[in-house]
Amino acid sequence: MISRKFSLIAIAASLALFFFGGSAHALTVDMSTLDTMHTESHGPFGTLNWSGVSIEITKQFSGGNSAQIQIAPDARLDGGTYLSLQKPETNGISRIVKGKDGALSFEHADLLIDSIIPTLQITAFSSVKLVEVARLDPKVDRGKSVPIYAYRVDAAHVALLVGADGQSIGKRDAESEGSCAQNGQKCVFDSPVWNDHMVSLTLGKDSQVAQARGDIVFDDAPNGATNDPLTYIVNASYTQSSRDPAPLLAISLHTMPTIFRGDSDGE
Amino acid sequence: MHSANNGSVSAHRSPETAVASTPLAGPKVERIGGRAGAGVVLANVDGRRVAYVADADDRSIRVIDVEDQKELSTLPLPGAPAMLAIFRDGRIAATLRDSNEVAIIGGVGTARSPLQIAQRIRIAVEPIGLAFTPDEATLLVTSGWGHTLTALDTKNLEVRFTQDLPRDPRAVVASDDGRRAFVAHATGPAVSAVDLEKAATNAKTAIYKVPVQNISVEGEEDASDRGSFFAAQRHACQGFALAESRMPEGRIFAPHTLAFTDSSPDDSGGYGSSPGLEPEVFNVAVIDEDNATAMKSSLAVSVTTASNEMPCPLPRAAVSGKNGALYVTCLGSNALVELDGSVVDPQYAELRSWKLPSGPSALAVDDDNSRAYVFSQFSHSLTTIALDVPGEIAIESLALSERNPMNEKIAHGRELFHNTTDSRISGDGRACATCHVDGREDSLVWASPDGPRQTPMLAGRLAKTAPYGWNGTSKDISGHIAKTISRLHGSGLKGEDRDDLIAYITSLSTPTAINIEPSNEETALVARGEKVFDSPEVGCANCHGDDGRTPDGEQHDLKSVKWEQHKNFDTPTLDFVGGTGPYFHDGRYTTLSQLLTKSDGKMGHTKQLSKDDFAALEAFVRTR
Repeated sequence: MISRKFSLIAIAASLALFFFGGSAHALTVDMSTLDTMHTESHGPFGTLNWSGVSIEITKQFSGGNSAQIQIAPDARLDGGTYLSLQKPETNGISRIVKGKDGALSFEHADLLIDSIIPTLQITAFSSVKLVEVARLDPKVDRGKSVPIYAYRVDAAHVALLVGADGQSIGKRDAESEGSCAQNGQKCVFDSPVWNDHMVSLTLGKDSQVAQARGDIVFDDAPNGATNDPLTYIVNASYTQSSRDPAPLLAISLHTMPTIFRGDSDGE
Repeated sequence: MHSANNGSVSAHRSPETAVASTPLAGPKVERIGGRAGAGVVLANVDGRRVAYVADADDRSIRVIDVEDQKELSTLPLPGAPAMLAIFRDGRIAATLRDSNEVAIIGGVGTARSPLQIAQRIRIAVEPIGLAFTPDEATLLVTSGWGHTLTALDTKNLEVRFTQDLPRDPRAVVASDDGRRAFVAHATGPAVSAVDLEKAATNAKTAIYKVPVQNISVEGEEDASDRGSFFAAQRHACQGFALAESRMPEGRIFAPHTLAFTDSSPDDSGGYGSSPGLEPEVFNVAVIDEDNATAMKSSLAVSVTTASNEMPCPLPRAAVSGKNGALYVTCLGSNALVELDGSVVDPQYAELRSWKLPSGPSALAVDDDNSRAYVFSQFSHSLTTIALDVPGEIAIESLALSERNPMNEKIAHGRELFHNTTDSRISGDGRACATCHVDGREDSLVWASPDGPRQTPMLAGRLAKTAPYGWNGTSKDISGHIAKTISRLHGSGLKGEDRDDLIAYITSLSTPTAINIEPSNEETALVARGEKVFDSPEVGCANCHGDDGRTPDGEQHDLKSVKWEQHKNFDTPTLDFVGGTGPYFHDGRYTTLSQLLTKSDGKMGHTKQLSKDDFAALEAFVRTR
C-alpha cells in the first residue's frame, strides 16, 4: 500500500514550507460530558486550606497601591487596592489537583487583596472535575505531551485549561512574575498558579473561535532535542448546527516552530 | 464573428443527448472520497490508488498511479475538463468547460482497460461543477456562464431539469438527505441553496440565497492613533469551492474572499485602498446544511486583525477529511492550508500549510492513506503530501508529461496574473486575478481616485478597444497596466514580464458559443432588437457600432455625477455585457433593463420605445 511505497522526499527549497506546525489534533466534545464549576464554601477565610501551599503578603509597595504576594512554594503575584475607588482588588489563584484515584480537579480560591492595610482574605473556594479533551501526541512533540482540560463555567460558558505533566508551561506573553514559565518553575500538579497566568480560554455560545498560545519549556529534553520553548496553539469554539442536539465544543491543538508569524495579542 | 451569449435564453431548455452508447466494461473501480466532483478524483483500481486529473490546458484526463508516482495514460478530450466525478460503477463524468458538454467515460485508464468516451451530453454554457446526490440517482452539473444547475438522471443520462441560478456558479454539493444542492458562485454575496424537489417542478421558490458576507463588520480602525471605530462592508467573492464537513456532519464549508471595496477618508489612492485595512481577506463560511443558513460566527471578520490571519487568495478547491480538517488550495499564493473544520470559523484555526508548485487548482484527500493530492495547473504537476508525517513535510511532485505545452510567454503571464505575492504587481496581497476572476470580473465596484469604478471584464474585450480605462485615459494596454498596478501599490512591472502579462490577458478565453439553437421566436426577437439598436432614434450604434462590438474609441459626457473628476467616459465594447452586471462605470444599475431604461438621455434614447421594442433591444444586447 501507499504507506510502504511512499518515499518521503525532503522538501526542496523551491517547495519550502512557509509556515507549518507540528502535530495537529482536532476533535469535538459533547458538552454534556463536562462538569460545571461550583463554589464549595464562602469566606472570609484567614488561610488557604490547600495542602503544601501558603499565601501571604511579603512586600508593600510605596503609596500602598500594590503589594507583592508570595504563593508558596515559589510563585509570586502583585496585587493591590484600586486607590481611586478605595476598593480592594479581587483576584484568585488556581491549581490542578490529581486525586488518589488519578482523577483531576481544578481548584480555585478567590482572593481579596487590600494593599493599603495590607491584608489578604480568601473569600471563596471553588472546584470542578476536569475532563481531558485534547492532548498533543507525546510521540512527536519531543517526547512530551500537553493535555487540555475543560470544565463548564456555567450553562453558557466553558473554560479550557492547558495542563501540565511536569514541564514548565506558561502564556507566551506573560511578563509578570508568578508565571511558571517565567520562573522556570514546573507546573506540576498541585502547584498553584495565578489566575491570569494560566493558559485558559473561556467561550460563550456566540463567540468566535478563541485562541490561546503558550510555551512549553523542556528542562529535560530528550537527547538531541532542543531546549527551545515549544509553542502550542489551542483553538476552541462552540459549534452547533441544526443536526446537533446540543452545542459541541470543538478544539484543535497544534504546535508551532519557534519562528512566529505574528501575534494577535499585540506583541 | 463569435456568437457567444450568456446562456440565459436557453436557461430552462433541456440540453440534448448527443451520443448514446453502452458503458464500457472494465475492471471494477472503487471510488475514493465523496460524492462531489473535483479536478482530481481518486479510485482504487485493482488494489492500487489511481488519481484522475482534469488537465484543462492539455484538454485531457491524466491517469496516474499515485503509489508508483507514474503516469498510466492520457485521454484526450473534445474540450477542456473542469471537474471529474466517479460513478459507483466506475465510470467517470467530466465537465468540458469550453465545449458545453459532460463526457461520460468508461474504462479505468490502464493498458488493459483504457479510458474511452462513451457518451457526450450537451449542457448549458460552460459546465464546471459536478456532484452526485446521495442515492446517486442524479448527477448535478453547474454551468458558469450559462448560470444554471442541470440535473442528469444517472440511469439514462437524460436531463431531469435545469434550474436558473445567479451568475457564475462553480462548485456544487448535494446535502446528505438529497433534498438540496448548494452552489458556490465566483461572484456575488451568497451560496445558492436549491430545493431539488421544487426545482424538478420548475417552482419559482426552488432557489434561495445563503448570504456568506456580513452586512457590516465593526472594529477599531487604528486604536493606536485615533481609537476611532470603523464600520466596513465586506463583499464576498471568489467562491470557487465547497466541501461537505465529515466531522462533525451537517455543515457545508464555503471558502471565499471578503473584499473591502470602499475607501476610508485617508484613502491612499488605490482601488478600495485604506491604510491598515486588508482589501481582501480569506474567509470560510460554515453553512448549516439542514436549515441552509450560514453560521453567524463564521461570517464575522475583524477588520483590524484580518492581516494576522492566514491569507488564502483565490481559494480554488476544498475537501474535508475524516479527521475534521478542511483543506483549501490557495491559487494566488501557491499553498495548501489545513484548517480545523470543527470550529465555528475555520479560517481562524489554521493547523498547517504547505507551499506548492505554481497554480494549485484541484485537490483530493485520501483519508485511508493520509495523503493529499494537489494538481498545480500552472506548473503542470501533481503533488502528493503525506498528511500523517508531523513536524516535517513529506511532499513529492510529479511533473506531468507535456503534449501541447502552452506558449511560454502566455504561461508566464498567467502566473503573473494570479500572483498575489509579487510586490511589483501589488503591495496589498491582491493580484490581477483577484478582481478579474477567471479573466472576467468580480461584479464589484471599487473606490478609486476617479470615483467608484466597476471591474471590467478582460477576456475577449481588449482587442481593438483602445483607449483603455473607464475614462479612456490609457492609450494602450501597457499604460493601463501601469496605472492599475500603481493603484494596487505595486512597484511596477516592466520589460518581458509586462509583455508576458499582456500576452496572457489578450489570450484569455471567452465563454464559448451557446450550443443550443435558439427558437424561431428568440431569433426573431434578437433580429428585431438589432434593428432597434441600430436605429438613429435610439442611437446605441452611434457609439458602440452596429454590432455593439466596435466602439468608436471616443469619450462622451454621460452626465454621471457632478463630482466626477473626468466627465467623459470611454465607449466600451458590449461583448458579453449580458453576463457582467452591475452596469455603468460606477455599477449603479443592477440589470441590463435598468441600464437601458435609466440611462435614457445620457447614452441613447429608449424612453420612446414600445414594450416589445424594448424587450427586443434588451434581448439583442444580451446576446453580445
